[in-house]
Amino acid sequence: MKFIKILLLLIAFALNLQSNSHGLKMSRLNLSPTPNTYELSLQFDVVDLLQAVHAECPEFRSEKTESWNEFLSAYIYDHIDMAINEKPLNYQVTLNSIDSHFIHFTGKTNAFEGAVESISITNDCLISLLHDYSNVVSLSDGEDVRSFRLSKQRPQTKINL
Amino acid sequence: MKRILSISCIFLTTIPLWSQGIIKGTVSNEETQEYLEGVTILNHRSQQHTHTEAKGHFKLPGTSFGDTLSFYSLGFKNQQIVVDADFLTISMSEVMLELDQIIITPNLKTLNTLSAINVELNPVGSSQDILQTVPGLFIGQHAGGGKAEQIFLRGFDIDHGTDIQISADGMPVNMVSHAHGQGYSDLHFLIPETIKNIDFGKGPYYSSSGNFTTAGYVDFQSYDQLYESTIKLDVGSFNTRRAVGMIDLIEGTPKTDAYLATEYLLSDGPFESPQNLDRLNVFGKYITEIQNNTLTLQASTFSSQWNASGQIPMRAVQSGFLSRFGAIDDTEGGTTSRTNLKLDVRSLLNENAFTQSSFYISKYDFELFSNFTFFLNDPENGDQIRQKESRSIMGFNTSYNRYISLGNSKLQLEGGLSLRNDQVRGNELSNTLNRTTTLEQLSLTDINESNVGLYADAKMEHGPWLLDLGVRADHFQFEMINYLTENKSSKATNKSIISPKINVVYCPSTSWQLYAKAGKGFHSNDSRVILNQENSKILPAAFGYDLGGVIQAWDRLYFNAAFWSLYMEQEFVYVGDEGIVETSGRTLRQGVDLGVNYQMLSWLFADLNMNYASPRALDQPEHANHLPLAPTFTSIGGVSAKHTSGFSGSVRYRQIADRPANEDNSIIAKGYFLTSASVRYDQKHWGIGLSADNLFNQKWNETQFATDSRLADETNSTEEIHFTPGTPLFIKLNMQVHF
Repeated sequence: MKFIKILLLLIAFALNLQSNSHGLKMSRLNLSPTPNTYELSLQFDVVDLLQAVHAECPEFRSEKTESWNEFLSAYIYDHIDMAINEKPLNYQVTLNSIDSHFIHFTGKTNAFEGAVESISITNDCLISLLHDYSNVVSLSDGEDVRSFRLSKQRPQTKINL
Repeated sequence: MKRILSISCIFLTTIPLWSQGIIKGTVSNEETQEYLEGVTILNHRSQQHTHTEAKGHFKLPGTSFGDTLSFYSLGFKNQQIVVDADFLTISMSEVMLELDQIIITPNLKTLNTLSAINVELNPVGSSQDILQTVPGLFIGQHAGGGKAEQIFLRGFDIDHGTDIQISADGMPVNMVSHAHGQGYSDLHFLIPETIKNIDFGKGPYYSSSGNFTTAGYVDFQSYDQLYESTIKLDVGSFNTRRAVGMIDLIEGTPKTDAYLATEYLLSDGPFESPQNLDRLNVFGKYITEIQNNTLTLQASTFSSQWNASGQIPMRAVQSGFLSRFGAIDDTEGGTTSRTNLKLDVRSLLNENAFTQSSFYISKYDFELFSNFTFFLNDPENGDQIRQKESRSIMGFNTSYNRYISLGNSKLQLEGGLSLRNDQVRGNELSNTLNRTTTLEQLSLTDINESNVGLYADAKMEHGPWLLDLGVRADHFQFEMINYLTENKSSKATNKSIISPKINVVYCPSTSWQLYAKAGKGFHSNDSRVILNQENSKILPAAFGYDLGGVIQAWDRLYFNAAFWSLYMEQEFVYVGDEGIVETSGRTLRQGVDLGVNYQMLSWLFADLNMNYASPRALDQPEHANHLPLAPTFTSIGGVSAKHTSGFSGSVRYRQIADRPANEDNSIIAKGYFLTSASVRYDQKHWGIGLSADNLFNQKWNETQFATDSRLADETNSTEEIHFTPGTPLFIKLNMQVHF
């Protein structure tokens, strides 16, 4: 009988292991080309981003949800820089949605002229605050998606097109 | 090592319950008092036979006072006694190996007996060579000594383990959905000197073996106890240094013992860019008996780091740009580690039934840098890739065994359950530069994969016949989180498969047997393939059969032969350009295995093993239906000596024939024929040995791939053979002390 109990316990333990958690801590920035601009899509884990913004801006905690966009966007502008063909490129983002896990932003870059030969991206969001954090930058081009993983050791990448 | 041979006759139909005429007893080693497992006991009058089980106990039905019984075990002097009591206590004394001690019985594993002789005569000295003790199995190392070896068996290029189930003391070695490829099996956490027995079976015919058992299975079983401590030192070519310590921690009793084994290996290999292989192994085992339960706790840990010169293009060598031992990208290499904890409980429920259960957990890390195509995809930075993962494995196996008497027949029933869960964190493929800079993230996933397996097996022995019927059911659950998709998207699926087996053995005398085996097996696909490609089979099945026999043609001469066939619903194929294994269509392999073992003199032995295979893809046109790198002919053999004076030695060869490296056979992977020799002198408390591999210093390619690559100064790519050069003459001096 004891054997059966142990067996059932192990089966329950094994079944319990089937629910996976998000093991890696990372944000995601997606760039999709349109004529003369890039559309931007950003995604962070909610808790991680709020924690990071509060660490840099203590008054953030007392703010109402309606004013989050201002604080969170400012944090993103401080930590993400872009350049096309080695020339700095400004962009705008807006808080789009918040669900139980993720916070989403959408936006677009300013218009640029000429063919894009390279895109440089610096993204050090959260990596100074959270151990082993990384930021994935994905560049969509039709069906092809190229992804780059930025970290504390390598916060910047240059993508040659 | 004598016990290795005594295991060879394992066939656990040993505790039948007869109502009358049963003789019981125990058999032990006269010198060490250790109980002997697998001793064959034959009643000359009734022709009934049995074998001792793990604790040396036996029961022989149909036996009366005055009957003559013979006791046989390889490495021990045969004994004949006349039954004069209903409980016999037998002590057997060790003698030199005699092939005529082999008794052929209705048993599925007679080939294991013959293979164990070769292991006894030619002890394995490195973890790479452990697998090659399986007849017909070849390996190839192509990444600096730290990566798992590439495996070839029965017309399969198994890559690193896609089609062979490998385990150590029942704990799985194959890694599902591994960063480097499905079924990746790194055996370097084993210390060869701790291996007591190698249990193997070719084909998908064994109910207790599940995932990956298509070409076959191999289980390495470690010693439960040491009877002396040993310190061993190896010094070899190419700055090879190896130290092994095996320490008997407590004064062993039949009930409790413990030992600790360590191995430390350093080697630069023959490459211009030293491989700096650095590996540390620690293994410990504790065994105790509590009433009718035997508890075994074992723990092991290993770590390894190395550099590699990779696979180099033939054109670079032929043009003089590189030497055979040079490198295009010498920043290849990696690190890996594995830590295991395992608890086994064997419980004797009554005279006719026992259970055996084990629980294990493993922590595993792996990071590998490779460059297969050099500058094909990225002319500026090169094509180096990183494959990385961190994994936890938890598993549980249990089986229930019962022996039943049915008149003159014996029935062994076995049922089992296994659970396994793999949690892989950060399974990564990325483009890197000089190992230090991640250029592009190609894949990044978490994987959670579970397997529940159930099996039932019944072996009925009646006169000269053995009928073995089995079935197993496996259920898999696959989950994956893809970090490179929106919202870290998660996918999941599950699948089950039923695998029936049937084996028949006809053994009319103790000198020959015929057998027929048939069964269905399977290998699971990689979670990333299953969940990303809708047309991929999740659990492609394999259907096979073997027809064969073993015959003792003369007192000390044995032949074995088998014709076999294996059909697979879906194949894994190595893609050289990507350095990955991907799935393809249906395949059919057919072949013949032949073996000879002969003892020429009391101290001189010869053996020969040849394997022919015809591997074909069924969904390809006839001119392009070859399976790249699949071996078509392999052979091993040699002459070995073991003299009572303490001298021993061998001269052996290993051959693999030329084989297709691509589908239309337009590129050939060149074969090799290598010779090795060794000589040893052993006394009770010390020993010394000298060995030479590749005795004639031949140029040979250990692994080869047809790959499309581009060098830095080339404008166009070239598809041709890329190879890892085999080790030239390698001399090793070995010293050991026992205390």
